[in-house]
Amino acid sequence: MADEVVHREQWGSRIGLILAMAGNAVGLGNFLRFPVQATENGGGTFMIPYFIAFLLVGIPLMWIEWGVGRHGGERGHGSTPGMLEALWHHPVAKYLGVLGLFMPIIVLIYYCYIESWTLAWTFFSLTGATQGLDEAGMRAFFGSYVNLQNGTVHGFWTPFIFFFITIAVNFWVVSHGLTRGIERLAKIGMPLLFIFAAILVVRVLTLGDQTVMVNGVATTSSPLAGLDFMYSPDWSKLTDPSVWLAATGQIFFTLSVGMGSLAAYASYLRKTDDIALSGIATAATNETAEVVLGGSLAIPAVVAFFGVSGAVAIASGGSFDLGFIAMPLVFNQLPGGAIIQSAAGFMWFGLLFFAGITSSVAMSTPVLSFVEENWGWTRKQTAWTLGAIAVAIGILHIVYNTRGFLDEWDYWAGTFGLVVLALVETVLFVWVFGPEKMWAELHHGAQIRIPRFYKFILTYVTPTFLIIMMLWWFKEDALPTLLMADETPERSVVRWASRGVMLVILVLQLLLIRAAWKRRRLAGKEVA
Amino acid sequence: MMSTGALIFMVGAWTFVLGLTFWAYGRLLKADASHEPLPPPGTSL
Repeated sequence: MADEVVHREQWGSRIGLILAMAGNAVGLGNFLRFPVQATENGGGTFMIPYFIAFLLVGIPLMWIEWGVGRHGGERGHGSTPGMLEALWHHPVAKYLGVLGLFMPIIVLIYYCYIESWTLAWTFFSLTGATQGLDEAGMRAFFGSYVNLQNGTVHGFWTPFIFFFITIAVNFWVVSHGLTRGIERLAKIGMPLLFIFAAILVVRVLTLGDQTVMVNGVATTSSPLAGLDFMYSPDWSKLTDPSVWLAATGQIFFTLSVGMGSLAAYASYLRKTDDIALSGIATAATNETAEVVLGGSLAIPAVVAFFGVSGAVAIASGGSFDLGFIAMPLVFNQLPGGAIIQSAAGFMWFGLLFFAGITSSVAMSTPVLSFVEENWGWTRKQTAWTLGAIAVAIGILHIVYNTRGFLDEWDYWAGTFGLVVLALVETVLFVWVFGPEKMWAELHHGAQIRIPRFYKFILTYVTPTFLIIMMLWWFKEDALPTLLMADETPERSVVRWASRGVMLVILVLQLLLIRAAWKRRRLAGKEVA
Repeated sequence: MMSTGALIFMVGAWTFVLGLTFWAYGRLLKADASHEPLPPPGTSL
């Protein structure tokens, strides 16, 4: 039974597959997290470990996710519980795979909430709601929305309405299945994303010199000063391990590895489909979006109007300050009048929305596959049920966002958990499945021969990087986050409640896995 | 303005990323025309 090939839905076209995979990888992080990370870690200094991590961790993990996914998909598994058991015939393997159900659903829910902000701001850009606002006004406009400050700027229900619309669009897309839903969205969304980004990059880089106030003194700045900052390494900072970890972490997040969604997409491949070249194409598309487009947008634009020190200060406020406060302020200063300013805002938030939705539909895929394959539900039934659950839980994020509810989910599932699953996948695929079988699996149907030294990298270097990263984060972040150092009692209660909800979801998923395997045994199906 | 070093670094980074992207898509498109998968490693071509 282990070698039985199970027939499942398949991708309609190669370009559709690559765009969907790239859409999965290209997300809000490419345009918001990357500039902030680069700015906070010294600009050019950050870029050197970033590219090294891309070659040593990013591309190998991309191949691992594709390999794990295709191998599992051939055996009828579209989610990690089955995929991992197909690699390691041990009862524990399927329970380790719960991470590939838990993380995508947790991240999906809060990600859709943030995605709904981009939809809202696309609308606000069209209506000109942010035009003419100064920094204090822009902060009030953003704060009123995310803090539910009824009556100050936005109505109380406005964030809920945009969230419901975002969820409805997401699950309407996935309810149409792989080719008619996800693939079609990728074929529309990804080109639009690149077109919007390219237009904005040209506009930003041709802004010319601007007068900015730095410490009360008028001086000139330009987008080229932003690029100069992005690409001027301070070699002495290269010995700082935190820069290396930040760069490795960014590569990790930007490629969407360690979440199970890439593997879920890869499970719909045929055995003879290439994964070696397609994996590189996906990673390279993501890097083009991040380095060439993402790196040439927010930071050069903000440096042009606020100077380098201003940009660093804005970046220290986080991705949302950069994307939802600084960028609209930049657009308000663009020459050409209200129409140009509205169009720039529309394209900026529109590209963020497309980046978000092509990722969030991917996050729903592992859970949808798991339910369909084990309980025989249709795609529509599964999609709308999951959508209803996402709405119910998402409301908690809207209400308790400012009290740390979202931060908890983002840290445990969207940050730390990703490294754990990536490490589990790597250990099982490379060490337990075996380096020779792993290497052969990557080359089944391959259209390129992967350079031999990558076998060494996959076997030793990538796992070592992951172990170091996990241990470092555990020591630096996980323990203080777990212990809630310096937290107010009110926020502590909400954060503990947030952990409680996550724990309930995790336990329910473990029980579902147990029940699914019981059903399989009763139906006389071997799992692996 | 950009320093020469920064300009060289940026051109190198963009060349690497865009070069990898165009190379990968070029190979994919070429292979789509006549896809013949390579045999597993360890076997002679």
